[in-house]
Amino acid sequence: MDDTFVVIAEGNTHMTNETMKDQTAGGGRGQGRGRGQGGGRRRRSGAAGAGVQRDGAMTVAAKLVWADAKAGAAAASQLLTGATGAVRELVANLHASNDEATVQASFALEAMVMASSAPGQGNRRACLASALAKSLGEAADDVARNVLIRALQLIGGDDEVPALAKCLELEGAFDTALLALRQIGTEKAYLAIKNSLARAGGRRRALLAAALGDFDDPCCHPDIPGLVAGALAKADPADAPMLWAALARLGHAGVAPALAKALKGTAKSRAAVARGCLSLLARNCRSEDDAAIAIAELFKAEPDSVSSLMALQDNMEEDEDSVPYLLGLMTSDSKVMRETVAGILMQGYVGSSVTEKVISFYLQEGDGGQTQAGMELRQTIIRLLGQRGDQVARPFLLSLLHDREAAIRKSALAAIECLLGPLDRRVLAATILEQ
Amino acid sequence: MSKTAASAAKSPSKAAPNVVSQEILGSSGRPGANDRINHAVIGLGGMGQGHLGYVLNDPQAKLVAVCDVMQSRVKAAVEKAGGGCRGYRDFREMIDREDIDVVHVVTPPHWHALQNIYALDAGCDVWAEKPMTRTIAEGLHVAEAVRRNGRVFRLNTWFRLYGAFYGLGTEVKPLKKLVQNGLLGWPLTVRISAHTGFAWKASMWTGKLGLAPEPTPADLDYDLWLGPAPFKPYTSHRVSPSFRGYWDYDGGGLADMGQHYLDPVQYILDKDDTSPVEIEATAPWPQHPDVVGLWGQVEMKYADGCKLILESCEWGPEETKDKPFIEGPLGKVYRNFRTEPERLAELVVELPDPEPQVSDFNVSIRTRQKFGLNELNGNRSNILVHLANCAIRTGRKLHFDPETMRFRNDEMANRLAEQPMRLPWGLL
Repeated sequence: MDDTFVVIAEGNTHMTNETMKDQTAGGGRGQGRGRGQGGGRRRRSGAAGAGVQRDGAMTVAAKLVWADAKAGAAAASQLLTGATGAVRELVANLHASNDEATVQASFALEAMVMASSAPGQGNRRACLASALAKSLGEAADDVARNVLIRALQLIGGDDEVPALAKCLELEGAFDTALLALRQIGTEKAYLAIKNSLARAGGRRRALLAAALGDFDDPCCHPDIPGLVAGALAKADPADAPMLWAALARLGHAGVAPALAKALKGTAKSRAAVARGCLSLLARNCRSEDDAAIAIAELFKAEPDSVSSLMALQDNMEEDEDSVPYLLGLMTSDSKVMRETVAGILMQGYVGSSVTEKVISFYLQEGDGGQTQAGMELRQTIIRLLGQRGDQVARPFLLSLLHDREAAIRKSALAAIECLLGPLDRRVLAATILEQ
Repeated sequence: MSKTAASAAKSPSKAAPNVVSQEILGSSGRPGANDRINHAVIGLGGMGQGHLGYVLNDPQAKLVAVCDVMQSRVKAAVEKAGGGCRGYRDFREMIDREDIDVVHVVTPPHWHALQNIYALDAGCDVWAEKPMTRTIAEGLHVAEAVRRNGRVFRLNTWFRLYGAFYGLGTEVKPLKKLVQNGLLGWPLTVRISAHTGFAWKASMWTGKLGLAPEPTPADLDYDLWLGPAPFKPYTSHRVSPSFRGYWDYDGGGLADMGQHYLDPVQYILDKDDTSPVEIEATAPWPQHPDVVGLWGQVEMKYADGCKLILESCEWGPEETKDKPFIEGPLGKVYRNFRTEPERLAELVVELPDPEPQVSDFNVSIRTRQKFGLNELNGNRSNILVHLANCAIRTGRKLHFDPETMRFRNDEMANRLAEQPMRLPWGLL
C-alpha cells in the first residue's frame, strides 16, 4: 500500500448527502490511486474504504505550504470531503522530529480546521472533529498527539470530550488536553475533568481542580466550589494561588479568609495574587452577603488600600450617602488613594448636590492651603470640579480666580476651561492679573 | 471575562489631559536620592536592553532589580547597572521586594498579561512592552487590574505623543489637527505600508518550519520561559528574539510593529474607544498552526466607514504604491506631508492644537494622571493587531463587535481571541 492513497468515508456520520455524493462521485475503488507528489518522507498511507479521492491527503498537503489562499481553500475543501481518511493519513505523517512530512501534514490539518470552522460549516466541523478525536490513539508520539489536541481545542465540542478525557491520563498530553477541555467549556467537558479529578492525586489533582474554576455557573455545577476547596486543603502551598483564583472565579466566599491571610503574609507576590483574587471574588459572589464577606476580609487585611476601596465601590450603589466617606478618603496620605477617589467622583455620582458636597468639603478641608498636602488637596478638588462637568461648580471656580495663591488660580483656570470648554485664555489671564 | 473587566476596558478615560509643571511635582530641579523612582525590569533580551537604557539614563529613576529566565543575561544586566541592583530568575521573587515602584514587562508577549497583572496587583506601576497582550481577552484583564489597583500603566510606544512617525516624514500632531478640524472630510482611509513609510518586518519575524527539537541549554529555565504557553519541544529559534515567529508567543511583524504603527492612526481617527467591525486579510492560506508566516494585506473597516489598509509589501500584489497615507473626500496627505489640496499644509499651522496628553511617564507616576498611551487606548490598538492576525489565520472575513469585544457568529475566531493558559498560570 505504500505510496497509494485511498480515503475512506466510513465514520463520516455528520456528512450531508451532498458531500457524500461529492466524495464518491465518479469514484470506484482504484480511481484514487496515484503516486504521492511532494509528500515528503511518507511513513504510511490511509486504509482502504468505501469512498475514494483522486489525490492523496499528503499529496494535497505538499501543495499547502504557504499556498495561495484560493488554492488553499480548494485543497481544504477537497480534504474535508474525505475528512476521516485524510486525517488518518495526515496523522500518520505527524512526528516529533518535525520533518518535512510533519510540516506538510500540519498545514493540511490547519487548513481543514480553519475551513471547517467557518460559519455555516457545522457538518464539516463535526466530521473533522470526530476524525481528529478518533485519530488521537494513532498519533506517533506526544508531540503529534498534542497537535491534534490543539486542533480539537479550536473546533472540538461535546462529541470529542471522551477522547480528550482519555488524554488526561497521558503524561505528555495532560496539559494540552486540559486546555482543550477548558476551551470547549461544556457540561460534558466539566464532567470529564471532574471524573479525572476523582482519580487524581498530588499536583495533578490541584491542576484539575483549578481547571474547574473555568466552569463558573453554580446553578449547573453546584459541587464545583467544594471540589476546588477540597483540593486546596490538600494542595502544596505553591499550588494554592491557582486554586484561589479558581475559587474567586467561582465566587466562593469561603476562600476569603485564606486570601486575607495571604494578603497579610510576607510574600508580596502571593499577596498580589490574593489581592487580585479578593477583588475578583467580591465581583463574582452570587449574593450580597457573600460579597460583603469578601469585602470585609479585604478591609480587614488592608483597610486603606485602593483595591479594598474599589471592591467596595463595585458593590455599592452610587448614592449620595457614600460621598462623605469618599471625600474623607481624599485626605489620605496616599496620592494613589486621593486620585482614585477623585476618579470615582469624577466618573460616577452625578448630580448637583454631590457637586455642592465637594465644594463644601473644599471649604472645610485643605487647611487653607497652608501645607503642601493641603494645597495638593485643594488642587485635586478643583480639578475634580472641572472634570465633573457640572455647571453648578462654575461660580465657585470663577471665585477661585481671585484666590491669593497663584497655584490655586492656575488650577481654577484649568478647571474652568475643562468645565466650559475652550475659553479665551487671554480674558481669563487678564482677570487673574487683575488680582 | 467579568462584566467589570469589560466595562473598565471599554470606558474611555474621562480624565482631562493634564500637563503638570515641575513645581507641582514638588521637585524643581534634579531629584534627590529619596525622590528617585525605583524600577525593575523583567525580560533582558533585545528590548530589555532598551529598557535598561531608559532607566539608567533617567536621573529620576533607579534600577533596583532585573529578572530573566536566562541567567547569563541577568548577570550581564546586574553588571551593567553598576551596583544597587539585584538579579532574579523568577519574576515572583523579584516582586516580593518591597521597594519597587515601577515594573517594566519586556518579556515575550505570552507573558505580558500575567506579569502586568502580577505587578499591578502588587501595587506597582507598569511600563509594558507591545503588543500589550497576546490575545484580545487578555487585554481586558490588564485594563481591569489597572482599574482595581489605581495604578498607572504605559505602553512602550509613543508616536501619538511625539516624534517623527516612522517613515511618514511628519509627526502625528499635524495629521490629527487636519482630521479633527474636518479638513480631509469623512470617512477616512489610512494606508500603512512600506510605500507610506512603514516596514512591517513580515519576513523578519516569520518562524522556521521543520526545526528539529534541540537540547535545552543549561542556562535557560525553559519551563518558566514557556510559562502559560503550551509545551513544545525546545528549539533555539523559539526563544528570543525570534519567538515573534511563533503563534504561541507572539504574532510576527504585525504584532511587533502593529501598535507602533496603528496606535497613532487610531488616535488620529479618534477611535480610542472603539474597534473595527469588519476585518479581511489577503495572505498565504492556510497558515501553519505554530509558525507565523507572511501576509499581504489586511483591511479593517470601522462602523462609520473609516478604513485601515495594512500592506506588508513582502507578499502578494502591492496596491498602496503612490497612494496617500490618509485620504478623505476633501483631501489627502502623502509622505513628507505633501497634501492635496496643497494649501492644507499651510492651513494646518493655524489650526488649534489637539488636547494635550501626558507624555512623560514620570509625571504620570508622580501625579497619578493617566499616561497618554495607557491601558484603555493601548488595548484598543492592541486589539487591531489581533484582529488582523485572526483574519490572516482563519482566512475569512471577520465581523467584530466593538462593545462586547467578541467576533460575531464565529466561534473559532473567538477561541483564538480568548485562550486558556497552561496551568498553574491564569489571569485574574
